[in-house]
Amino acid sequence: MKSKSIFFFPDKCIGCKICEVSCALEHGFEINPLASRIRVIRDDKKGLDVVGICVQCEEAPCIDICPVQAISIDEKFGAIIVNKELCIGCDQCEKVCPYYGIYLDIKSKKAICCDLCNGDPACVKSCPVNALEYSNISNINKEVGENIRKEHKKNLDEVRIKK
Amino acid sequence: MIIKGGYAGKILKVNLSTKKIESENLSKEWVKNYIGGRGFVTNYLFENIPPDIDPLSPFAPLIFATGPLTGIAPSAGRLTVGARSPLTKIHGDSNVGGELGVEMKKAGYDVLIITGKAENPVYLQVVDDKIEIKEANWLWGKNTIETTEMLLEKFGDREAHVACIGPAGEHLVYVAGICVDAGRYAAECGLGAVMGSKNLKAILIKGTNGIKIENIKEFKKYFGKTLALYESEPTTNLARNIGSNFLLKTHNNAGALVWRNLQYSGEELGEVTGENINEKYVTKNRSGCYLCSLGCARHMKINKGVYKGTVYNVPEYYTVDSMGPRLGVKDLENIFYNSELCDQLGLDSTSAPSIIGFVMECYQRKIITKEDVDGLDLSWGNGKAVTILLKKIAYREGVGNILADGIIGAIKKFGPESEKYAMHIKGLDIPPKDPRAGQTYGMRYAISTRGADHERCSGVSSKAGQVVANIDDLSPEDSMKIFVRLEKYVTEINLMNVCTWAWSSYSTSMDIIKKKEQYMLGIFNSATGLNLSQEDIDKATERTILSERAENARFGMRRKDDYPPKRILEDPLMIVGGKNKGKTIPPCYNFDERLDYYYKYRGLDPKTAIPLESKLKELSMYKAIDELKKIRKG
Repeated sequence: MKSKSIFFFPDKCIGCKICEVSCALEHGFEINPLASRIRVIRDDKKGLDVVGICVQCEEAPCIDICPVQAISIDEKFGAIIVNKELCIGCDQCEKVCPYYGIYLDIKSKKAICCDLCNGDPACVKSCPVNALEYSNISNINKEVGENIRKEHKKNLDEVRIKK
Repeated sequence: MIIKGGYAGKILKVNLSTKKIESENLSKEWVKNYIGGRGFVTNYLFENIPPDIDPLSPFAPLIFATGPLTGIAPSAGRLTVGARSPLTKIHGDSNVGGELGVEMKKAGYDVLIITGKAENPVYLQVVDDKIEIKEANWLWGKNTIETTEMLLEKFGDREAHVACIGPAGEHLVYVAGICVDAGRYAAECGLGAVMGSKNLKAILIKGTNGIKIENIKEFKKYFGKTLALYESEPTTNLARNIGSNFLLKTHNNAGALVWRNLQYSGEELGEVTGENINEKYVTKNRSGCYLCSLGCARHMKINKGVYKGTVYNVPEYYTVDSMGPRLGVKDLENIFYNSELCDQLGLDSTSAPSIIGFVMECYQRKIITKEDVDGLDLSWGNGKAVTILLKKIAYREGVGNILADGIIGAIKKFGPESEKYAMHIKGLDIPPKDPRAGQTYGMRYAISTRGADHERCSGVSSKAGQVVANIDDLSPEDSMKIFVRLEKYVTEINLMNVCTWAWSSYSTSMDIIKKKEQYMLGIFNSATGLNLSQEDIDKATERTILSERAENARFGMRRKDDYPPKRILEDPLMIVGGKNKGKTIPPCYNFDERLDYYYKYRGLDPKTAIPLESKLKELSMYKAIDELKKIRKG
């Protein structure tokens, strides 16, 4: 069983997108939100900022729906891993992900997803307001963990981008 | 010299008359000499605008320029927009937040230059290298919020970014701004009218490229150091907890808050305080701009009364004072409403009310009567009349048609007697911080190349957010030395294109500013690989200021145009209430001497304020030397 996963606190998030930049630079040599595995979605009208990020679901719908079994769980940290060789870019995973946490990379057209940066996520480290936590809350108190997820999901549903 | 990152590397040129679209490489010489942002805008305008061009003619360019730090550094979602101003008829530029600038770079362009005039209303759609001029009759007449929504809806991807004009820009109102992301504004200098004169309703940009970083390790180091420095500053918490409206109380106590067109300061604020706004209206405390951890913006909602149900971004200090105390209005909800109205109509939410303040004083002094203003009662504090006037200005209806020509247009109409109540320099209204209450920093309104303006030089803040007082106790020579040092730093901020508030205003000492300057250069060099020295940057700031001075000299600006209105130079400022009740602040003293030192440090001729040839030579500005030879005799 995985020990830690990413938790998001919408009340704390100010939508500055520093997490996006940190993630993009951790995984490449340029600042590009589209290459980032965490995305801040802002709805100015509602005054909401929410992140789309993989939260390492216990029962991940992306794994179930993938027609070529390209998605699996990394044993060491419990991250959702995409096998680029296998991925056919069908985008099914993006459509079923409840947390807007997996999407097609704009250039390679293969799915990209948070890989937990070898157990030390750059986004969490860089967040200036502690809106992200990499923790084992769920293992200590399942209910607390679930409530945080619920709040995250609720906010995400309100702002979710129509593409 | 190779640019390895930071910049996108291209300039996009669009001619709306010929529909010609072309892109060219960013010249490395240009980068080295002017860095970006305001530097690019200024130099382009100086070299490409004939001095006799009408600001609203198809030949007048409208230019959007990002800086090398746009989209990559902390607090740097900034974009500079520039043109010859229809309001002031001199150099015009305005800096705007939101994410249009970031998107421009992601689409592959550092600079966008628009010339010509479309036959019918159009909008420009830029998706990477696919650029289209599209029909916009369906958007014409819509307000800025509607326009942005409709465009994003049609485009089908809400992650695109939009700049547009409202009815004010369409009606060529001289105080019309350009709205970015439905609420950010390139407000000053009437640039919205320039966009309107080209029949250009909007610009939508979507980019999918990344901005390259040459040395990620170094880059991260300086990025992190900057954020850590923010955290160490006491002003950061002020920004986070109250936002810029903390200044309402602070400035009112210091005599700096403008009341009734700068007649006095210190009146009881009532409900108009940042603390009260936070307590009663704010729904989301702290909303960050792009890559900014300060988060001084916030969202609000009005729960009851006439304006019930409206959700806004909380207007910033400069708008709240302009809509409120400057007009004697103390009804906070009316202030919110009128601010939002300006945003929707596409009006500058400080210049438009400032003109109304001038009209209200003319009304108080009986220079004009009800009949001159379409039967409106323009007594101080009548916020409902302000609402009506703003609409009239935006649509150029009735007296609005006069006020839409800006403060200079209004003086012409109301007669020479009205002139002494017009609180402006070079046609741009004095911002809501009385220059008498901080005499050295007050000089920034006078020397600003785009008219009275607070963004060209920023003070160092004490813990309470108040400008350090003792600079005024220094001799003019020494105080202006500090002033020019700070002006240089703020110009640097404008060239790199980061937020003036975060990088300058919220700094509590010169040491902090020096650190920030060092980190800024660190970010610049690690991102671009250009390895410029601080001296290179300093020279670019000098070139920028002198380019603007040269441009303005060609437009006929001389030393006399750097002077504030008589009220500022001759009348003391009374503080009528609060902590310092009864105190009187003297009018601007030593003004001439301060101006002399400014010219001396900047290399301007003390008699004419035209850049000295020796100084231009030192900076290798040969084009300016040639151009100025033509007018030097005059």
